[in-house]
This record gives sequence, structure tokens and C-alpha cells, in this order.
Amino acid sequence: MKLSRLIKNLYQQVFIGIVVQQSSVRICVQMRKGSKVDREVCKEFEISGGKPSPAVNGFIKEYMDESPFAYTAVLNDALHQGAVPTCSMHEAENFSDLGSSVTLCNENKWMVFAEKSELNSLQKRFSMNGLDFIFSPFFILSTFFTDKTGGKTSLLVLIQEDYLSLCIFSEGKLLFANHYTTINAVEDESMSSDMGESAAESLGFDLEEENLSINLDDLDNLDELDALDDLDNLQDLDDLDDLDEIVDFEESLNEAVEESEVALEEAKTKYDHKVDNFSDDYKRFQIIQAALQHFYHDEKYDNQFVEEAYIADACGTGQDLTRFIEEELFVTVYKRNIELEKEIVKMAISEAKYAI
Amino acid sequence: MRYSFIKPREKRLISAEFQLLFFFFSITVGMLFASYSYLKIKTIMYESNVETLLAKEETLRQNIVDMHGKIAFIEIEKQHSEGIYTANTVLKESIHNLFDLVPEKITLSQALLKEDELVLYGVTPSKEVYEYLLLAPLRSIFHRSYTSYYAMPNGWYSFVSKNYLDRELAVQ
Repeated sequence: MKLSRLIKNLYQQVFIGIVVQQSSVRICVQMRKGSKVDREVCKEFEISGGKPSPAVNGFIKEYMDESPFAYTAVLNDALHQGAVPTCSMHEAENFSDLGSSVTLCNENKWMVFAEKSELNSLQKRFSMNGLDFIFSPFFILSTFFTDKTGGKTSLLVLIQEDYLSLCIFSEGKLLFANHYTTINAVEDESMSSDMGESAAESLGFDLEEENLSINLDDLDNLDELDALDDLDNLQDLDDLDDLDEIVDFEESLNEAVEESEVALEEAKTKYDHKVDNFSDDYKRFQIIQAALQHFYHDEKYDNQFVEEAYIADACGTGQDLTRFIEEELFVTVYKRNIELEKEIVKMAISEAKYAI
Repeated sequence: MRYSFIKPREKRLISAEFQLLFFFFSITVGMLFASYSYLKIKTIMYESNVETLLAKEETLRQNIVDMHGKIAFIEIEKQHSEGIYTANTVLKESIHNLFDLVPEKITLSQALLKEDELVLYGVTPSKEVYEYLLLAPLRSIFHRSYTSYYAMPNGWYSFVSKNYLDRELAVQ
């Protein structure tokens, strides 16, 4: 046994796994002595713009100070990253321009890449405490579903709050991979309920079944406005004395409108979360659908049909996404929850074996 | 297999500040150890020198004792030689005196000088010359004197004179 490994086993090792989203960061800290886990702490922080706040830096530093053998690992959140089904740089040019990317080959079969400038930017964001490992979501995905990549053509999807990574494996070979951000799309969805409705319409979902709409017919007040009958024909108005009736009608109409607005607000509040989830899931579905269409239509990928989809869910998506994929894309979906920060810690532990 | 886009930073057991502190502490300890070693070596060397000097002192002491022995022996020898020298001087004086005693008319042919005895062989013109000129002083020196005369054809006498000193009488 090497001396450095012996010293490492004598000391406590600290592994810090970090998953950064635009508005939050999840951190999991695992303290180990040899192969024994001493302690594990996981925490979520609110941040803005994907930059770690002083509280986040303080939390990381607190645990880094615990041991000289502290390793900080983060999941790469770069937009320009992906994976290609070859380890040859020459062949990889057919799939993506990797001129300014850092690449990592996996078992001489496929390789992941990430934009160098974005990796530098990520390191700069964590420059206060520094980083030891930056992992690709594709490695996490292939490791998480390692038993599923060897069989028939399968779609693997890693869903984070703000990002979505998907790849297609067939008999252990990577065929297609891509990384997307969902943040702009999700924000747009939240801001405009119209888009949600149009999405529902395009899918043929009846939102009324879910009691998501307001039925103005239920408002009795409108039926009780007998004065409206009097206004059916304005030509019947003989004189201006009838204007009093119009004023009365206007008042009662205003009351009715106010009541309906209140009822609408209540309904919005009640179903807001559900609508948001629905729209997020739909947007993710749209991304997956577009990716699959790209895969099916591109001749590079041999027109293979995806039979199964495995979703690693890191943000608690609803059942809608599964339903969308199964019903629209005719793919059997298996969903498994993933604690990304813990997976990163696991990967960091295996990587640290090779560290000095 | 490598999964990370970056290499982990080198982990140090001790911080840079502690390394600096440890460096200076090591220098201090090193200097102390060097001083201790220097003093230790010097002490060992000093002890070794002391041992050598003690051995040398012992040798010298032994030499001094030997010297004293030799000096005592030499002094005895000196005394002995002085005794011999004195005896020789006395003998020389005695012989000188003896020859001074012999008158011109008497000729000695042989003289035997022993410790307590003097034997003279010679020729004398007459017994009287011998008795008056030589025997008288010999009798004053020796306790006993015996003389034998032999007549020679020319009328002279060859004589043999035996003279003895008696030790007991000389001491008294």
C-alpha cells in the first residue's frame, strides 16, 4: 500500500457534491474514514443567477476545513456540453465542433465534451473554495443506468430543475446525446397561462376535467339581472328617465365582475402549482420529443427505434411527463428518482482514489 | 478511469503557514541538534584526550620511578667510582711515594703491589744501604717486613722484600 493511501486512510476524507441550478444549489457532504461513512449532511440553498452565495461558500468552507483531504465536486452546468459516440477527434467532427472543448473518453467507445470557457467560468464561480472535480451529467447518467445501457435501444434522461440531459444507448454503444436548458422555457410558461392552455389543446387534454377552468355559467348573479331583458332593444327606450335603470344595471354588473375576479384569483392560487408542473413537464416533453425527432430523422443514427426510456428524476417531475412520452412517443417509460449530489459524491470517491 | 474534466488539486497535510512554521522550527531543532552533537563530539574527544593524558601521565610516572631507580644506581656507581678513584689516587700516591722511597743506589727490578702486601725485587750495593735507605721507611708504612738477600757475583745483593699491612691493626 502506498504511503499516501495509508495517510489518506488515517485521515478523515471529506467529499462535497454540488449541483448548481439557476436559483438554487444543492450540496451533499460526506465525511469518510477509510471506507466507513462518518457523517453525511445535505442542504439546499437559494441563490440567484447560478452563482454561489456567501452562505454557500461558507457552508463549503466549513466542511473543507475539517480535513486536508477535502474534495469538492460539481456537476457541469455548462450549456455547451454533450457526448459523441466516438473517441476519435476526427470522427467527432461529424457530430459537433470540439475545437474549444475539453473531452474525456469513456472506455474508448464514446466521449463527453464541455466548452473550455464554460468550465473556466464554473471554476471561477467557485474560486473562493476551489473545485477538484467537474463531472459531466452524461457520465452520471450512464453510471446511474449502467445496467440499462447494454440492452436494446434505450433513451436515458436526466432531469434537473433547470437542465435536461438525454442520451440514447444501444447494446452498450452511445448513439446520441444532448444537453438542454429548460429555464427560459419554464419561465415563459409560468408567465403565460395561454401557452399552457395551447399546450393542453395540442395534446387533447381536457383541463376542465381537472377543474382547472372557471365556469362563468355558475355565476347566478348574471342570470338574475332581469334588467338586461329591458335593454334588449334600445329602441324601446322612450325617454331619458329610463337611464336610471341603466345606472342600476351598471352597478350590478360591476359587482358581478368583481365577484368573478375574486373567484378567478382563488382558482388560480389553488391550481397554480399544478399548472406550473404541467407546463414544466410539457416543456421537457417537447425537448425530448424534438431530440427524438432529430435522432429519427438524422441518417447518422441508423434509424433505430427507441423502445424504452429511463428517466433519472432529480427534481420531482409529475406523472404528466411519463404519460406524455408513453402516449405520444410510444415508448415504455421507467422513472427512478436520483439524488444527484449524492451520485456526485459517489463519483468523487471513486475518482479520489487516483488523486495524489 | 477519469470522469472529471479537471484534475484534483494537490492535497497537503499541512497548510502553507504551518509549513513555514515547521520549516523554522526544524531549523531551530536542527541547530540545537547540531550544537548538541558538536558539544557531544567535543566532550567525547576531550574524554578521549583525558584518557590519553592519564595514560601518558602514568607512563611518565613510571618513567620517573625508573629514572629515580637509575639515578640511585648511578649515584651508587658514582660513589663506587669515586671510591675506586680515591683508591686509585691513594694507590697512585702510594706508588709515587714508594718510588720516592727508593733511593738512587738501589735498583728495583720488579714490584708487586697487592691490597695488603708489597713485594719488591731489586738489586742493592749492600745490605746496609738497603736497610738504612729503604727498609726503614717501609717499616714505617707496613706492619711487617721480611727481606731476603741473595749475593751476586759482583758483590752486590739481589733482594726480595715482602711487606704486609695488617687490616685489624690498620683499623685500630
